[in-house]
Amino acid sequence: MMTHCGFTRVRSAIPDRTRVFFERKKRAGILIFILLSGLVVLFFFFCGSGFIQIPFLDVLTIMFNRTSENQIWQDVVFNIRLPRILGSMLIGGILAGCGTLFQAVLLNPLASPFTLGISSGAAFGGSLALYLGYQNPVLLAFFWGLASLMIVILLGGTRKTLHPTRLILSGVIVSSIFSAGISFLKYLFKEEVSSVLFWIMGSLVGLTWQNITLLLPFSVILFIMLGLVSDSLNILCLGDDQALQLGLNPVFIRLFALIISSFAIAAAVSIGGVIGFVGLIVPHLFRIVIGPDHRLLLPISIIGGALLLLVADNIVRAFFQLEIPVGVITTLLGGPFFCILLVKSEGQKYQ
Amino acid sequence: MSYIVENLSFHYLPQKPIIKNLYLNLERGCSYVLLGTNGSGKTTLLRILNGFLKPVSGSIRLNSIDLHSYKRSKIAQLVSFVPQNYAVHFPFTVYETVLMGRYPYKANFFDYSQEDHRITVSILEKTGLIDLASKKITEISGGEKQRVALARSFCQQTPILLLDEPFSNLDIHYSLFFIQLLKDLVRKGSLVVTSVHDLFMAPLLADRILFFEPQGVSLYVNKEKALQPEVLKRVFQVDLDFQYHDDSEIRWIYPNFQKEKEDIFK
Repeated sequence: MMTHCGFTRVRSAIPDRTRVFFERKKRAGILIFILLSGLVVLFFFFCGSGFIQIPFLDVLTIMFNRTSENQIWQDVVFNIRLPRILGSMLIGGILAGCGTLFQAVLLNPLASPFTLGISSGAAFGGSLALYLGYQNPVLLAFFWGLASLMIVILLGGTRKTLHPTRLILSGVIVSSIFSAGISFLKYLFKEEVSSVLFWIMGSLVGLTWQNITLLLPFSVILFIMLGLVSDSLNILCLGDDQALQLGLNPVFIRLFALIISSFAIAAAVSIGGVIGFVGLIVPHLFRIVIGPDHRLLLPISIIGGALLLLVADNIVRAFFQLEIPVGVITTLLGGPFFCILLVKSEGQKYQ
Repeated sequence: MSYIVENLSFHYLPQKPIIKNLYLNLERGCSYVLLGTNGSGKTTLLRILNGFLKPVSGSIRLNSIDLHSYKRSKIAQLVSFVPQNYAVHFPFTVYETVLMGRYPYKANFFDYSQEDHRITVSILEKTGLIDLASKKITEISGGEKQRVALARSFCQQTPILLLDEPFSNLDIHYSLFFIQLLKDLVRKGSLVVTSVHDLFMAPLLADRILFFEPQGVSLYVNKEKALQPEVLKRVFQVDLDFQYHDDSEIRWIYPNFQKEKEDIFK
């Protein structure tokens, strides 16, 4: 009766048809290699360059032997440049990794780690600490950032669901409340506005080893957890119903992902402030190059984010001996770059 | 593989019951088609069978075990579901999307196996999607997306398939083609439950028909009895005539337009 439906014509050259899939994998491997080697080279390069130029070989001896005939060089590399460079790499990795995660979890390519208001929360906490006269505002910023994300999760979730749109909406609300709080604090201590601005602009000047010890455990946990959920994120992109049908509980994954990332983002924001566009652009860029498979996209975004922030934070310092807040650089360069991406992709992915 | 539904009732709002006191026995090797008006509860029943919705009262047993005592990961190996429509939010390729049908069989934290890739390629071949394998899911048409959803559900290789209007965007060629594939699965022992609006397609796919009538859901073991003009008139409020084509299953449907409704927009 329905013999005309035979499909003899499609039985040709199978591996060829699926080649994009396997090509993406190969491309991802090459990309990881390039990014990692770039990261290593630039790491040593920036350790040596700046106001005090230190030859490359001396940097290596200082790093590996921990001794140098020049005590000042050793101080500069170990206590000033190294924590800052490590910090920029970790924060870049956290922001880009969490950006990728948030975009998948919120099913929204325009999401970033700051979409759910964590940055305003942390900035508010930091400002509050400054206003109250605490010596170490980082901890209060961390807890307020964490608290704001928890409020958003509580607001965004009903008894059984954790809907992306609802989450984004609660993020917007919580974020604007905290912004108003920051403005109020700014009004209260007029003369010290510049220290509040630090959180809003984002800056990595004067990072210490103490900051790294706060950052390191959270980022290591985050990177491991991202590796564990990367597969589930792909399934989540099919929508909640399809994910559940394939045996994955979308609410659980969403909650788990948001909670593990919130610690790392809160740590990053409390130390570096709101460094814009890294978490938005890096996942976008690499999604265009290697596709949306999170098992490849997450590690590449983390490495790419680390590289981007390393360069953005150190390039002005190294070549012009100037200090411009890194958040200003990433936004100044990232904004126009994002516009180009948006125009180039002709808007089809953002419908 | 069988569903036993006992005394099942469901409502979203207590004053508006959707399903009342339903008893059903869905057996393997049989294709069930759900027919009924818009909003009569076809999708709701599919979602209940799927475990997405909990019945207000009554029980559903899958292989004589309560459906809600299963883990979702176990159900994923037993039941697949094709939704009416769905959105994929990122530009995955068709190949990747179909491959995700193998997720329930994949060991956690490991890559898909060679076997998974082999099954995916063969399903893509069988469903005529191999030419689209490298295309992005965000850039294909609605009908093609529906074929991808069907392919993924085949890729899941479950003994039970629940399909919610799977042919609504397909052209006649692919509708008939997928009906043929589904009937083939049924012959091999699968249980297929499909909701369909097309009265031409319904009898081609169905062994039995579940009719969502105003007074309740009734199961027609003999599908011809469900497709009588009187029954259709009672449910859909339309006058239909059938004409059979040379003794075969294929029938033509002739609507009798009601004269008084012609002036409706004046």
